[in-house]
Amino acid sequence: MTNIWNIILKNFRLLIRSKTSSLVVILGPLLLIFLVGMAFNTTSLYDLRLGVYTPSYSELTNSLVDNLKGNFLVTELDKQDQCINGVKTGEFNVCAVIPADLQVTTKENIIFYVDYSRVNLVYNIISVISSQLQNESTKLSTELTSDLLTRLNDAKVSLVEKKSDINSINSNNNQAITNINAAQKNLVDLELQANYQVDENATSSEKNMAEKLEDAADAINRSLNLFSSTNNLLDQNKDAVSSVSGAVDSVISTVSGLSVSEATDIVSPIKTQIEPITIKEEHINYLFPTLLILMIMFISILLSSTLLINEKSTFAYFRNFITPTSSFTFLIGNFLTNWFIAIFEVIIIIGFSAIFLFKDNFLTTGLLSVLVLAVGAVVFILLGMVIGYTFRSGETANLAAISIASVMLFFSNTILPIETLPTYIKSIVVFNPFVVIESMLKKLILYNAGLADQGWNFLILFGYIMLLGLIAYIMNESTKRRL
Amino acid sequence: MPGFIEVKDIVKIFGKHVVLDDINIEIPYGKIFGIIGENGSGKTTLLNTLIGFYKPTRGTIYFQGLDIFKDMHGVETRFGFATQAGSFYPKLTAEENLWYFGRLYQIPRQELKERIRKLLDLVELTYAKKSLGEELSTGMKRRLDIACALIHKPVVLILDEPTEDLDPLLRKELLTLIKRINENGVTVIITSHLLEEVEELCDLVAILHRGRLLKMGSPTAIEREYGKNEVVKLELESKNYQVFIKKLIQHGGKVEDVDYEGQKILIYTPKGDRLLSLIMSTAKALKEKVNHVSVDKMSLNIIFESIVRGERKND
Repeated sequence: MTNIWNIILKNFRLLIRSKTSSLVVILGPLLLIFLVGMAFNTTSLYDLRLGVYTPSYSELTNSLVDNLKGNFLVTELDKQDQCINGVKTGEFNVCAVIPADLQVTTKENIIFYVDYSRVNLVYNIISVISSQLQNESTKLSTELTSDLLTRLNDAKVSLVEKKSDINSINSNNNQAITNINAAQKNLVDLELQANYQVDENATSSEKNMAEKLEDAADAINRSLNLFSSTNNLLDQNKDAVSSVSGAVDSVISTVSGLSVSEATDIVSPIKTQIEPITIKEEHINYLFPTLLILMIMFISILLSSTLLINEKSTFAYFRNFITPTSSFTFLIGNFLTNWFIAIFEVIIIIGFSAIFLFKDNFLTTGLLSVLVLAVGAVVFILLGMVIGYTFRSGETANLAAISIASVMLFFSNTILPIETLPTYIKSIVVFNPFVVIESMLKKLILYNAGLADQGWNFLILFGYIMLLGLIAYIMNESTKRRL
Repeated sequence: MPGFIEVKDIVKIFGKHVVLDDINIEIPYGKIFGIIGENGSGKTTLLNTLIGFYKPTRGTIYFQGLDIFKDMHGVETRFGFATQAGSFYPKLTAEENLWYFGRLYQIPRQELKERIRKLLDLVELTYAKKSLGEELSTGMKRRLDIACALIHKPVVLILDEPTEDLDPLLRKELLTLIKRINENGVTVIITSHLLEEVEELCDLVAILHRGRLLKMGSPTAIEREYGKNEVVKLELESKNYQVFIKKLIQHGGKVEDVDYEGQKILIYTPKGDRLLSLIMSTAKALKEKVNHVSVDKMSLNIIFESIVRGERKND
């Protein structure tokens, strides 16, 4: 133990006296975190350049372009090729080709040309623009639907108002029928015979009277016929009015029975809301676990390999071997030096981030994150030590360290989701220590999930530690023989 | 104490290259033992094998009767080693280097403090104890390296070309230091290709050539063996040495052997003075212009060169 401490102390002295190394090792990662934090501590996309081309502008086109101008640097172009080539040359991030005289009724699509080689940006752009256009489209739909609903409602109100007139007509009609029936009855009750016989002796006035009675009876009969006909017509009117009344009732009932009365309910009958499973909002919050593990990976691999190469390149390395100190002690001493530095960095960064990231749960999430990173650092340090023992020159060791770290970074969720990889590669990549530790940190920091179900991940990391530890020891012994 | 260190039938092969070929050496206690040889003769490999850093392909080494490869701890704690490169950390001070290596030998703190003080005094670096290793001059670095090698009080100190790259004054100082260390009862094994210093310093010398041991004994004994001759160095304007030597022998000159050193011819003869006068008369007779002529006693240096040249001819 004394010897291990002696080796660690020596390593720290060497590191501190090598000012450049100290700066790179200690300040480098902090600077990195600071810069990334500044850059990503936002929720919006800045300075996206959008090229727009349309053969002719309509009011809707202008409105759409104005809306886009609020969020993008929009350049309006005269030619479609110019717009599309602008994306190829990087002048624009997106080119939007809008149909001529864009109207609500236009059947053609608005086409967006994007550069899929910039994968992450493309998804962001598509998302933002789609959202912008969706808003515009929804606005238009809402206006149209609202107008429709208003007119329908006005019609309903008018029908309700006129329903009393229909009732009045119906009532008057009924009264007319009643009156006619009464008049008919009165006429029938007169019992006037149409054929009045008067004898020859009848006076002329009697004859005249009989003729008049006969005329009256004829008139009554004709009137009764007319009444009967009028009655029929009134009955028909009554049926018609009743039918109209029923139809009006039905229309009013149908309009009243509409379950939606708001235009927005018709435009977006199914309402969606994206609810994040975390409460963090800025990009940095989502990036933080990745940044942490990225930093620890590069520090651990580069530092441990560099320290070992430096150690191997001094002639004192030889003297170490001829002392009665075991190779294992040197290995542990060198390992702990790197580990302490990595932990120091982790504590500083987690400490700073506690202000904005962990807030109330620092004692649980913050400390558990340190624990996960401490275990992760062991894996990367041992990997760096294997590199340091394997290679002879600093240049090749650095190249190997950066290459291996880059491979781990590339085959993780940082650049592309691992779900996009072929199945057989994905089945390997899930064991990538970077992926394993990143997943653990995300669960801890973003979901506050604790370590309860992280047993399998810890097991994978311990497997790496055992394997890399063994390889490092073997390589150390091999290095001794190569001196 | 003869047989303090015994190198028995050591063969060391790297790949197909035989670096040490059947080496047998006995190093007595308390002596300064010199190993001389050209670059690549196997000196450093022999030293690395002596401290157990290399395992020999065949043969073994006994230290006080014990096979060192079966008792590495004995070698680690009782042998000290200083390389020509300076095996210490340039970014640690002289004192920190000694402290670090002392602790690796598990020397208790108090004892180590005292030992560092004495060692810095011995190698005359007390005034520079707070200086970083890289800030020291070449001579001081060499002395610090020796101090590091002595921190655990070894009984055998092995020095690999300790005076390499040192100016004559520093070299002399270092040789004095080595003698002082030896006087304290430390057996010293030293390699060098500066034969004058080996001749001055060593009680015993072994000559290595291409992994083989050519000669071993005290410098005096070796000189005595080869000392019956003197060497005449001659440079003629015409460089027509074959005709000249033939005439010289015809005039009665005793020539044991000849060799060449650059533009000069080396003539080995039992009587240098007589040959010198014959050279002058022969040159006069042949009308040769003599650019240089000198007579030297056979020093270890000349003997070494003579032996190595002989071996090269045999190879």
